[in-house]
Amino acid sequence: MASFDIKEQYDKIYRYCYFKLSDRYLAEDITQETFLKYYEHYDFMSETKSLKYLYTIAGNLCIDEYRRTKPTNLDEDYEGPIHEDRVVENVSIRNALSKLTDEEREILLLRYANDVQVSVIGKIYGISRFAVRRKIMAAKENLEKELRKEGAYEQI
Amino acid sequence: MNRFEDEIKAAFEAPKPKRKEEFINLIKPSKMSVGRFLLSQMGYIRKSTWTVFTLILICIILAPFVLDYATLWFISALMPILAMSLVTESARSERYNMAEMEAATRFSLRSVIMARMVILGGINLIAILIAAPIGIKYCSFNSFSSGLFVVTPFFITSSIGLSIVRKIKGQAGFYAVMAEAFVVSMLMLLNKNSVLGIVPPESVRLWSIVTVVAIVATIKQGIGMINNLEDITWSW
Repeated sequence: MASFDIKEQYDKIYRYCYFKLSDRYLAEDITQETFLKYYEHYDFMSETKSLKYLYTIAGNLCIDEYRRTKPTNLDEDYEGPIHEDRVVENVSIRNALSKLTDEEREILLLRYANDVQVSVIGKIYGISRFAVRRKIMAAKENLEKELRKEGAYEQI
Repeated sequence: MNRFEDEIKAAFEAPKPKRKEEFINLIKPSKMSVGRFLLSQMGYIRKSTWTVFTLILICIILAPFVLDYATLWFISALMPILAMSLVTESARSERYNMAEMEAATRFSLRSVIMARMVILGGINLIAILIAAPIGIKYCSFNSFSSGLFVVTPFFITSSIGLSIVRKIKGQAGFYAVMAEAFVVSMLMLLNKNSVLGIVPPESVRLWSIVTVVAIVATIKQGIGMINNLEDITWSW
Protein backbone atom coordinates (compact mmCIF):
# COMPACT_ATOMS: atom_id res chain seq x y z
CA MET A 1 0.00 0.00 0.00
CA ALA A 2 1.58 3.26 -1.06
CA SER A 3 1.70 5.70 1.83
CA PHE A 4 2.27 8.77 -0.36
CA ASP A 5 0.42 10.86 -2.90
CA ILE A 6 1.55 9.50 -6.27
CA LYS A 7 0.60 12.72 -8.13
CA GLU A 8 2.82 14.79 -5.84
CA GLN A 9 5.67 12.32 -5.77
CA TYR A 10 5.58 11.85 -9.56
CA ASP A 11 6.53 15.51 -10.05
CA LYS A 12 9.23 15.33 -7.42
CA ILE A 13 10.83 12.14 -8.69
CA TYR A 14 10.61 13.54 -12.23
CA ARG A 15 12.38 16.74 -11.11
CA TYR A 16 15.03 14.65 -9.36
CA CYS A 17 15.62 12.58 -12.51
CA TYR A 18 15.51 15.62 -14.78
CA PHE A 19 18.32 17.34 -12.91
CA LYS A 20 20.36 14.16 -12.96
CA LEU A 21 19.86 13.35 -16.65
CA SER A 22 19.17 16.77 -18.20
CA ASP A 23 16.63 15.21 -20.56
CA ARG A 24 12.91 15.63 -19.95
CA TYR A 25 11.82 12.59 -21.98
CA LEU A 26 14.41 10.32 -20.43
CA ALA A 27 13.59 11.73 -16.98
CA GLU A 28 9.91 10.90 -17.46
CA ASP A 29 10.73 7.38 -18.64
CA ILE A 30 12.90 6.83 -15.57
CA THR A 31 10.21 8.32 -13.29
CA GLN A 32 7.63 5.87 -14.61
CA GLU A 33 10.06 2.96 -14.36
CA THR A 34 10.79 3.99 -10.76
CA PHE A 35 7.10 3.76 -9.80
CA LEU A 36 6.65 0.48 -11.67
CA LYS A 37 9.63 -1.03 -9.86
CA TYR A 38 8.42 0.36 -6.53
CA TYR A 39 4.94 -1.13 -6.89
CA GLU A 40 6.39 -4.42 -8.09
CA HIS A 41 8.34 -4.98 -4.88
CA TYR A 42 7.22 -2.75 -2.05
CA ASP A 43 3.60 -2.42 -1.16
CA PHE A 44 3.26 -1.99 2.60
CA MET A 45 5.54 0.44 4.33
CA SER A 46 5.70 3.79 6.06
CA GLU A 47 5.96 7.06 4.14
CA THR A 48 9.58 7.58 5.21
CA LYS A 49 10.60 4.16 3.95
CA SER A 50 8.56 4.53 0.75
CA LEU A 51 10.28 7.82 -0.10
CA LYS A 52 13.67 6.32 0.67
CA TYR A 53 12.99 3.46 -1.74
CA LEU A 54 11.58 5.76 -4.43
CA TYR A 55 14.65 8.01 -4.42
CA THR A 56 17.02 5.05 -4.20
CA ILE A 57 15.38 3.32 -7.18
CA ALA A 58 15.28 6.59 -9.16
CA GLY A 59 18.93 7.34 -8.31
CA ASN A 60 20.09 3.88 -9.38
CA LEU A 61 18.10 4.01 -12.62
CA CYS A 62 19.54 7.44 -13.39
CA ILE A 63 23.08 6.15 -12.81
CA ASP A 64 22.40 3.21 -15.18
CA GLU A 65 21.00 5.60 -17.77
CA TYR A 66 23.85 8.06 -17.32
CA ARG A 67 26.35 5.29 -17.99
CA ARG A 68 24.41 4.10 -21.03
CA THR A 69 23.79 7.44 -22.75
CA LYS A 70 25.63 10.74 -22.78
CA PRO A 71 23.36 13.36 -21.17
CA THR A 72 22.53 16.56 -23.09
CA ASN A 73 23.08 20.07 -21.78
CA LEU A 74 20.38 20.98 -19.28
CA ASP A 75 19.77 24.40 -20.79
CA GLU A 76 19.10 23.08 -24.29
CA ASP A 77 16.03 21.30 -23.05
CA TYR A 78 14.92 23.69 -20.37
CA GLU A 79 11.97 25.97 -21.10
CA GLY A 80 12.86 28.48 -18.41
CA PRO A 81 11.15 29.80 -15.32
CA ILE A 82 7.57 31.08 -15.50
CA HIS A 83 8.12 34.53 -13.89
CA GLU A 84 10.11 36.79 -16.20
CA ASP A 85 11.32 39.11 -13.42
CA ARG A 86 13.14 36.19 -11.86
CA VAL A 87 14.96 35.14 -15.01
CA VAL A 88 18.22 36.91 -14.23
CA GLU A 89 18.38 35.67 -10.63
CA ASN A 90 17.43 32.20 -11.77
CA VAL A 91 20.14 31.98 -14.39
CA SER A 92 22.73 33.20 -11.86
CA ILE A 93 21.69 30.59 -9.32
CA ARG A 94 21.67 27.89 -12.01
CA ASN A 95 25.21 28.86 -12.99
CA ALA A 96 26.30 28.83 -9.38
CA LEU A 97 24.57 25.49 -8.80
CA SER A 98 26.40 23.99 -11.74
CA LYS A 99 29.68 24.75 -9.95
CA LEU A 100 28.70 22.75 -6.87
CA THR A 101 29.43 19.05 -6.53
CA ASP A 102 26.76 16.54 -7.65
CA GLU A 103 26.03 15.63 -4.04
CA GLU A 104 25.64 19.26 -2.95
CA ARG A 105 23.29 19.97 -5.87
CA GLU A 106 21.27 16.84 -5.13
CA ILE A 107 20.92 17.58 -1.44
CA LEU A 108 19.71 21.14 -2.15
CA LEU A 109 17.23 19.79 -4.71
CA LEU A 110 15.89 17.21 -2.27
CA ARG A 111 15.59 19.65 0.64
CA TYR A 112 14.38 22.85 -1.02
CA ALA A 113 12.84 21.89 -4.37
CA ASN A 114 11.28 18.56 -3.34
CA ASP A 115 10.66 19.46 0.32
CA VAL A 116 12.02 16.11 1.49
CA GLN A 117 12.34 15.97 5.27
CA VAL A 118 15.85 15.95 6.75
CA SER A 119 15.16 12.55 8.36
CA VAL A 120 14.18 11.06 4.97
CA ILE A 121 17.28 12.51 3.29
CA GLY A 122 19.29 10.90 6.08
CA LYS A 123 17.73 7.55 5.26
CA ILE A 124 18.41 7.99 1.52
CA TYR A 125 22.11 8.66 2.13
CA GLY A 126 22.37 6.38 5.15
CA ILE A 127 23.61 9.19 7.40
CA SER A 128 22.31 10.93 10.53
CA ARG A 129 20.04 13.98 10.55
CA PHE A 130 22.90 16.06 11.94
CA ALA A 131 25.16 15.03 9.07
CA VAL A 132 22.39 15.97 6.59
CA ARG A 133 22.04 19.40 8.22
CA ARG A 134 25.79 19.93 8.03
CA LYS A 135 25.83 18.96 4.34
CA ILE A 136 22.92 21.33 3.59
CA MET A 137 24.66 24.19 5.40
CA ALA A 138 27.92 23.50 3.54
CA ALA A 139 26.11 23.34 0.18
CA LYS A 140 24.34 26.65 0.88
CA GLU A 141 27.58 28.30 1.92
CA ASN A 142 29.32 27.11 -1.26
CA LEU A 143 26.39 28.30 -3.37
CA GLU A 144 26.51 31.68 -1.65
CA LYS A 145 30.26 31.85 -2.30
CA GLU A 146 29.76 31.11 -6.00
CA LEU A 147 27.00 33.72 -6.25
CA ARG A 148 29.22 36.33 -4.55
CA LYS A 149 31.97 35.58 -7.06
CA GLU A 150 29.50 36.37 -9.84
CA GLY A 151 28.27 39.40 -7.93
CA ALA A 152 24.74 38.00 -7.99
CA TYR A 153 24.22 37.32 -4.30
CA GLU A 154 23.31 40.93 -3.47
CA GLN A 155 20.48 40.87 -6.03
CA ILE A 156 18.89 38.00 -4.10
CA MET B 1 11.70 29.26 3.83
CA ASN B 2 13.68 32.50 3.30
CA ARG B 3 14.21 34.26 -0.02
CA PHE B 4 17.52 32.52 -0.73
CA GLU B 5 15.89 29.11 -0.25
CA ASP B 6 12.97 30.20 -2.44
CA GLU B 7 15.43 31.10 -5.17
CA ILE B 8 17.14 27.72 -4.85
CA LYS B 9 13.72 26.06 -5.25
CA ALA B 10 12.95 28.18 -8.30
CA ALA B 11 16.31 27.31 -9.84
CA PHE B 12 15.32 23.65 -9.75
CA GLU B 13 12.14 24.27 -11.69
CA ALA B 14 11.80 21.54 -14.31
CA PRO B 15 9.67 21.47 -17.46
CA LYS B 16 6.24 19.95 -16.89
CA PRO B 17 6.02 16.20 -17.39
CA LYS B 18 3.87 15.31 -20.39
CA ARG B 19 2.66 11.80 -19.63
CA LYS B 20 1.85 12.10 -15.94
CA GLU B 21 -1.96 11.83 -15.98
CA GLU B 22 -1.88 9.05 -18.55
CA PHE B 23 0.57 7.05 -16.40
CA ILE B 24 -1.26 7.61 -13.10
CA ASN B 25 -4.57 6.53 -14.68
CA LEU B 26 -2.89 3.46 -16.15
CA ILE B 27 -0.95 2.28 -13.12
CA LYS B 28 -2.77 0.05 -10.70
CA PRO B 29 -0.65 -0.32 -7.59
CA SER B 30 -0.89 -3.76 -6.03
CA LYS B 31 -2.54 -2.93 -2.75
CA MET B 32 -2.21 -5.18 0.24
CA SER B 33 -5.05 -4.81 2.70
CA VAL B 34 -4.37 -4.58 6.43
CA GLY B 35 -6.15 -7.93 6.87
CA ARG B 36 -3.94 -9.63 4.30
CA PHE B 37 -0.85 -8.10 5.85
CA LEU B 38 -1.84 -9.35 9.33
CA LEU B 39 -2.53 -12.79 7.88
CA SER B 40 0.87 -12.82 6.18
CA GLN B 41 2.56 -11.91 9.47
CA MET B 42 0.79 -14.69 11.40
CA GLY B 43 3.03 -17.17 9.61
CA TYR B 44 6.13 -15.51 11.08
CA ILE B 45 5.08 -15.96 14.69
CA ARG B 46 7.14 -18.79 16.12
CA LYS B 47 5.65 -22.23 16.61
CA SER B 48 6.73 -22.17 20.27
CA THR B 49 4.51 -19.12 20.86
CA TRP B 50 1.51 -20.90 19.31
CA THR B 51 2.34 -24.01 21.37
CA VAL B 52 2.43 -22.02 24.64
CA PHE B 53 -0.88 -20.38 23.74
CA THR B 54 -2.52 -23.72 22.89
CA LEU B 55 -1.23 -25.37 26.09
CA ILE B 56 -2.48 -22.49 28.23
CA LEU B 57 -5.87 -22.66 26.52
CA ILE B 58 -6.10 -26.42 27.12
CA CYS B 59 -5.12 -25.93 30.80
CA ILE B 60 -7.78 -23.20 31.20
CA ILE B 61 -10.49 -25.41 29.68
CA LEU B 62 -9.48 -28.52 31.66
CA ALA B 63 -8.80 -26.73 34.98
CA PRO B 64 -12.42 -26.87 36.32
CA PHE B 65 -12.48 -30.66 35.92
CA VAL B 66 -9.31 -31.12 37.98
CA LEU B 67 -9.08 -28.17 40.35
CA ASP B 68 -12.71 -27.23 40.92
CA TYR B 69 -12.72 -24.29 43.42
CA ALA B 70 -9.03 -23.51 42.84
CA THR B 71 -9.63 -22.87 39.12
CA LEU B 72 -9.59 -19.07 39.42
CA TRP B 73 -6.18 -18.99 41.15
CA PHE B 74 -4.75 -21.40 38.63
CA ILE B 75 -6.06 -19.32 35.71
CA SER B 76 -4.72 -16.09 37.21
CA ALA B 77 -1.33 -17.79 37.69
CA LEU B 78 -1.34 -18.75 33.98
CA MET B 79 -2.01 -15.19 32.81
CA PRO B 80 1.60 -13.97 33.38
CA ILE B 81 2.84 -16.83 31.16
CA LEU B 82 0.43 -15.68 28.45
CA ALA B 83 1.65 -12.09 28.82
CA MET B 84 5.25 -13.31 28.74
CA SER B 85 4.71 -14.93 25.32
CA LEU B 86 3.27 -11.62 24.03
CA VAL B 87 6.20 -9.58 25.34
CA THR B 88 8.99 -11.92 24.22
CA GLU B 89 7.51 -12.40 20.76
CA SER B 90 7.03 -8.64 20.30
CA ALA B 91 10.64 -8.05 21.32
CA ARG B 92 12.04 -10.94 19.28
CA SER B 93 14.02 -8.66 16.95
CA GLU B 94 15.71 -7.00 19.94
CA ARG B 95 16.38 -10.34 21.60
CA TYR B 96 18.40 -11.62 18.67
CA ASN B 97 19.86 -8.17 17.86
CA MET B 98 18.15 -8.34 14.47
CA ALA B 99 16.29 -5.02 14.63
CA GLU B 100 18.67 -3.08 12.37
CA MET B 101 18.71 -5.85 9.79
CA GLU B 102 14.94 -6.30 9.87
CA ALA B 103 14.53 -2.55 9.44
CA ALA B 104 16.00 -2.93 5.95
CA THR B 105 13.54 -5.57 4.78
CA ARG B 106 10.48 -5.24 2.56
CA PHE B 107 8.04 -4.17 5.28
CA SER B 108 8.92 -1.57 7.87
CA LEU B 109 9.92 -3.10 11.18
CA ARG B 110 7.40 -0.80 12.81
CA SER B 111 4.53 -2.30 10.74
CA VAL B 112 5.78 -5.83 11.46
CA ILE B 113 6.02 -5.30 15.24
CA MET B 114 2.63 -3.57 15.29
CA ALA B 115 1.10 -6.47 13.34
CA ARG B 116 2.75 -8.96 15.71
CA MET B 117 1.36 -7.07 18.73
CA VAL B 118 -2.15 -6.90 17.22
CA ILE B 119 -2.16 -10.64 16.40
CA LEU B 120 -0.80 -11.72 19.80
CA GLY B 121 -2.99 -9.19 21.64
CA GLY B 122 -5.97 -10.61 19.74
CA ILE B 123 -5.24 -14.24 20.61
CA ASN B 124 -4.49 -13.30 24.22
CA LEU B 125 -7.82 -11.49 24.38
CA ILE B 126 -9.50 -14.68 23.14
CA ALA B 127 -7.74 -16.62 25.93
CA ILE B 128 -8.85 -14.04 28.53
CA LEU B 129 -12.44 -14.10 27.21
CA ILE B 130 -12.45 -17.89 27.58
CA ALA B 131 -10.68 -17.85 30.96
CA ALA B 132 -12.74 -15.15 32.68
CA PRO B 133 -16.18 -16.89 32.52
CA ILE B 134 -14.60 -20.21 33.59
CA GLY B 135 -12.88 -18.52 36.54
CA ILE B 136 -16.04 -16.66 37.51
CA LYS B 137 -18.17 -19.83 37.37
CA TYR B 138 -15.92 -21.81 39.71
CA CYS B 139 -15.39 -19.06 42.30
CA SER B 140 -17.30 -17.65 45.21
CA PHE B 141 -16.28 -14.06 44.36
CA ASN B 142 -18.56 -11.78 42.38
CA SER B 143 -17.99 -11.52 38.60
CA PHE B 144 -16.15 -8.17 38.76
CA SER B 145 -13.68 -9.35 41.41
CA SER B 146 -13.07 -12.62 39.55
CA GLY B 147 -12.56 -10.72 36.28
CA LEU B 148 -9.99 -8.48 37.97
CA PHE B 149 -8.23 -11.55 39.29
CA VAL B 150 -7.78 -12.83 35.73
CA VAL B 151 -6.94 -9.55 33.96
CA THR B 152 -4.63 -7.88 36.51
CA PRO B 153 -1.71 -10.36 36.45
CA PHE B 154 -1.76 -10.27 32.64
CA PHE B 155 -1.39 -6.50 32.47
CA ILE B 156 1.09 -6.28 35.35
CA THR B 157 3.35 -8.80 33.59
CA SER B 158 3.01 -7.20 30.16
CA SER B 159 3.61 -3.63 31.39
CA ILE B 160 6.69 -4.54 33.45
CA GLY B 161 7.84 -7.02 30.77
CA LEU B 162 7.67 -4.43 27.97
CA SER B 163 9.56 -1.95 30.12
CA ILE B 164 12.23 -4.62 30.80
CA VAL B 165 12.75 -5.52 27.12
CA ARG B 166 13.03 -1.83 26.26
CA LYS B 167 15.78 -1.38 28.85
CA ILE B 168 17.62 -4.69 28.74
CA LYS B 169 18.54 -5.80 25.22
CA GLY B 170 19.29 -9.30 23.99
CA GLN B 171 18.91 -12.62 25.83
CA ALA B 172 19.29 -10.98 29.25
CA GLY B 173 16.04 -9.08 28.72
CA PHE B 174 14.28 -12.27 27.71
CA TYR B 175 15.39 -14.06 30.90
CA ALA B 176 14.42 -11.04 33.01
CA VAL B 177 10.89 -11.15 31.55
CA MET B 178 10.69 -14.90 32.27
CA ALA B 179 11.71 -14.28 35.88
CA GLU B 180 9.23 -11.45 36.21
CA ALA B 181 6.39 -13.60 34.82
CA PHE B 182 7.37 -16.39 37.21
CA VAL B 183 7.30 -14.02 40.22
CA VAL B 184 3.87 -12.60 39.29
CA SER B 185 2.56 -16.11 38.67
CA MET B 186 3.83 -17.28 42.07
CA LEU B 187 2.30 -14.26 43.79
CA MET B 188 -1.07 -15.16 42.29
CA LEU B 189 -0.73 -18.74 43.55
CA LEU B 190 0.33 -17.54 47.00
CA ASN B 191 -2.76 -15.40 47.08
CA LYS B 192 -4.86 -18.56 46.98
CA ASN B 193 -3.95 -19.26 50.60
CA SER B 194 -4.34 -15.58 51.47
CA VAL B 195 -0.61 -15.39 52.18
CA LEU B 196 -0.56 -11.88 50.75
CA GLY B 197 -4.02 -11.07 51.99
CA ILE B 198 -4.97 -9.08 48.92
CA VAL B 199 -7.84 -11.04 47.39
CA PRO B 200 -10.20 -8.94 45.26
CA PRO B 201 -13.42 -8.98 47.30
CA GLU B 202 -11.71 -7.36 50.28
CA SER B 203 -9.64 -4.89 48.31
CA VAL B 204 -11.51 -4.39 45.05
CA ARG B 205 -10.60 -0.71 44.89
CA LEU B 206 -6.88 -1.46 45.12
CA TRP B 207 -7.17 -4.17 42.44
CA SER B 208 -9.14 -1.82 40.15
CA ILE B 209 -6.53 0.94 40.50
CA VAL B 210 -3.66 -1.52 39.89
CA THR B 211 -5.46 -2.90 36.81
CA VAL B 212 -6.09 0.54 35.31
CA VAL B 213 -2.49 1.63 35.98
CA ALA B 214 -1.16 -1.63 34.47
CA ILE B 215 -3.34 -1.25 31.33
CA VAL B 216 -2.20 2.37 30.85
CA ALA B 217 1.44 1.36 31.46
CA THR B 218 1.15 -1.52 28.94
CA ILE B 219 -0.24 0.80 26.25
CA LYS B 220 2.43 3.43 27.04
CA GLN B 221 5.26 0.90 26.91
CA GLY B 222 3.89 -0.63 23.70
CA ILE B 223 3.74 2.77 21.99
CA GLY B 224 7.21 3.64 23.33
CA MET B 225 8.61 0.39 21.98
CA ILE B 226 7.20 1.07 18.51
CA ASN B 227 8.38 4.69 18.53
CA ASN B 228 11.89 3.56 19.55
CA LEU B 229 12.13 1.54 16.34
CA GLU B 230 12.24 4.80 14.37
CA ASP B 231 15.38 5.81 16.26
CA ILE B 232 17.34 2.70 15.30
CA THR B 233 18.94 4.50 12.34
CA TRP B 234 20.31 7.26 14.55
CA SER B 235 21.95 5.01 17.10
CA TRP B 236 24.80 3.98 14.79
